[in-house]
Amino acid sequence: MISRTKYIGAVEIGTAKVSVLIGEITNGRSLSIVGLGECASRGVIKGVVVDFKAASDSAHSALMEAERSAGVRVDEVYLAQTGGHVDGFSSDAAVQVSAANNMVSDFDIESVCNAARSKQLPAGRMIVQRLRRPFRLDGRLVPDPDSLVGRELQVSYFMVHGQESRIADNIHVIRGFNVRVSELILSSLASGIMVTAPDERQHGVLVLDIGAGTTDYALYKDGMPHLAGVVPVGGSHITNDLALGLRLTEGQADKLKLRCGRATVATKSRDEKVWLNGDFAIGDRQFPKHTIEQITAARTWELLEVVKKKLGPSFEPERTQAGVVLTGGTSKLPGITEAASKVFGIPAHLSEAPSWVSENLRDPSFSTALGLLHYGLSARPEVPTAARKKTGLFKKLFASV
Amino acid sequence: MNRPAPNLVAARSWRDIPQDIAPRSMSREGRRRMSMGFAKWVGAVVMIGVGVWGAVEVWNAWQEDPTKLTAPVKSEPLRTIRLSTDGVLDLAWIERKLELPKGVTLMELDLPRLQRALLADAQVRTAVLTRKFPDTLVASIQERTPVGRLRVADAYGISEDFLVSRDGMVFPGANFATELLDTLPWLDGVRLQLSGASFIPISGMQTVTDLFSTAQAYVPLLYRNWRIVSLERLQKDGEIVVKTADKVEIVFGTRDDFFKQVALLDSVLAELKTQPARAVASINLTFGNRQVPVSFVPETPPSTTPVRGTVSPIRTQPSRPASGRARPQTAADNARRSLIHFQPSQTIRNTPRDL
Repeated sequence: MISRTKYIGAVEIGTAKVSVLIGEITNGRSLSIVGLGECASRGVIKGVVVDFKAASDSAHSALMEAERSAGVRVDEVYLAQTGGHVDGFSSDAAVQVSAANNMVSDFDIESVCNAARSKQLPAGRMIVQRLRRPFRLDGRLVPDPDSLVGRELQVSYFMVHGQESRIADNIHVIRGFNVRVSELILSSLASGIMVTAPDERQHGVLVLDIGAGTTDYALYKDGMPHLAGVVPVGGSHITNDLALGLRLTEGQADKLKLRCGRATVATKSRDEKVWLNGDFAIGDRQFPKHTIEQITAARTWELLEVVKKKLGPSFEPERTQAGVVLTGGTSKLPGITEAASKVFGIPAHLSEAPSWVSENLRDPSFSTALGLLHYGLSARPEVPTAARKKTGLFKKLFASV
Repeated sequence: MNRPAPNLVAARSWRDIPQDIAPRSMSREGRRRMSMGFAKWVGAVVMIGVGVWGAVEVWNAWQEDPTKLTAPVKSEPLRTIRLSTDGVLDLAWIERKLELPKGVTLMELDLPRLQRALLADAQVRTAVLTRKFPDTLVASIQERTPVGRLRVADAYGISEDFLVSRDGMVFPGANFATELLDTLPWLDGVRLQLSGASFIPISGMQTVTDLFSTAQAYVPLLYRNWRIVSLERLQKDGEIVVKTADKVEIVFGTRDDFFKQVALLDSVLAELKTQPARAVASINLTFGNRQVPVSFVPETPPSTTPVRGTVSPIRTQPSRPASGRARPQTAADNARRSLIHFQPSQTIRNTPRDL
């Protein structure tokens, strides 16, 4: 048998850095990561492209580095979408089962899915992803209603939408490299599929991907994404607060955050101080450690509160038994699991990459790119298989029967 | 009855965003990739176009006048034949075999027919003919190496010598040096059968060649003495009979390893040198290490044939009878003395001389 090999790229254009992974998919079954490229991001604020040229340069540098390390050329890319403009709403629909014997047919499934997905959006907004929740047949949850007996079939979609111009900018950055964007996937869903296990998703889990400029969240219930979104607050805001509070430059504040920042206040003594640089050079000075921790903890706490507020009533601690999984670059802030656990009232833990991921990719900042490759290997259709498989020629042939 | 699904208008998706962007919005690498992609596309189109055009032209030429196909190179007549061989055949031989008409062009050569002409001589194992434009024919030949000679007489009694290769092919042999041919043993007991213009390969020649190779490698002095090799008993009894220049008949068995037999022969001959000078008539190596029947030419004329018998072996150093008293010699005992059974000792087996 001739093996078919496809090379796909996974690109995350973040606020702090651009990550590119190249995956080799053999026969549509096995995935090998063959290339890695990273570049400091420029021209991107809070996950949104504000300088096309600068953003293109950094993204293309990362793409070129990844292609060089892989020794292959990618022709299609799975692109992560984030940004404060991304929002979502639930769209529900219900149909009466059409058959006389109340057996659900493909037609019923297609009808209810079409009805749920056909919500109009305001001008300038367009769908990024539609997240189908499990079907309900006469109120009971069913993963696939095909051929089951019932009276009323319900389905609910969570429609993730964003600003058309900003999505287009994101895509055009990649197209500037003459590579086609074959899938646009919400960052939180990409990282969520990578850092959670199927049973965690079944029991309910909240994934928080805390980046530099944004925090992407995804709530899973009954094994499927229930809702997802983006909060335009991230690690850079903690840095910014630190810079303002301690009168430091962004770079100095970032170093101090990485060295002494915490999501909870652990230092009891107010007299304990830390040096800014520790080299005793001119300009080097001391800061109270307690103050640094207070600033970073307050901002982190606020960030988590904002996410909780965005989740609204959809977040039910008792139906989120697998707890909170934290990922992204800012999740490395010490004490963040403790803070998340207190805010959400459920256990929280840091993400762990699957065992097959190599050591240099186990950092939480790669979870989105890894998740994009995972999507590339096993893309989940929005409409269930039963409703899709009889389209095309067969549908045309038997449409009149 | 199926009803059509409600035709609801779905909201616009990111897939509705056109992905084509102006080249000026691309980075340098993007433009380079686009140019490369365009060049590849153009190249592929041109290649396909040229291929289709060429195929159409050839088809038209074939339909109208097939000779046109050779016309472009017809003006170059064959001037040179280049021979590459691993044997002894030369250019004169190949010219003789090919019988090419004068002024023939390279494209007019029927290479398969010429190849068949070369292969008709069994001395040629493989032959590859290639045209090298503008005017050269290259012949690459692999030849068979002779391992034995054969004299064949036809119905009128006219005899002709042939050579035999390892794979049993029989061929007249061209350009071989006489010195080389003189070293080859004559084959006997072979029944040749004609198949068309050539002979059917002699079966069992590979085994015979193995014996020759072993002897040449390990006992070259003995091998030089081999004159006639009879294959008469090869198929039936698995025996190869070698007659040496000293008129000694050596019988080799095909069931045992030739190396062992050659080693045994060498040790037997060495042992016989220690015996009183008597002419050896035959040495039979087919019994392996157990025993080597050696027969001598009887000392008394008139009988020149070796005395054979089926009596029990007499050792070169017969053991003393249990009684310790010598038995009186009889006439039968004297006759038996012509046939001795050589039993190589352990020492001889482990240190074969000249090996």
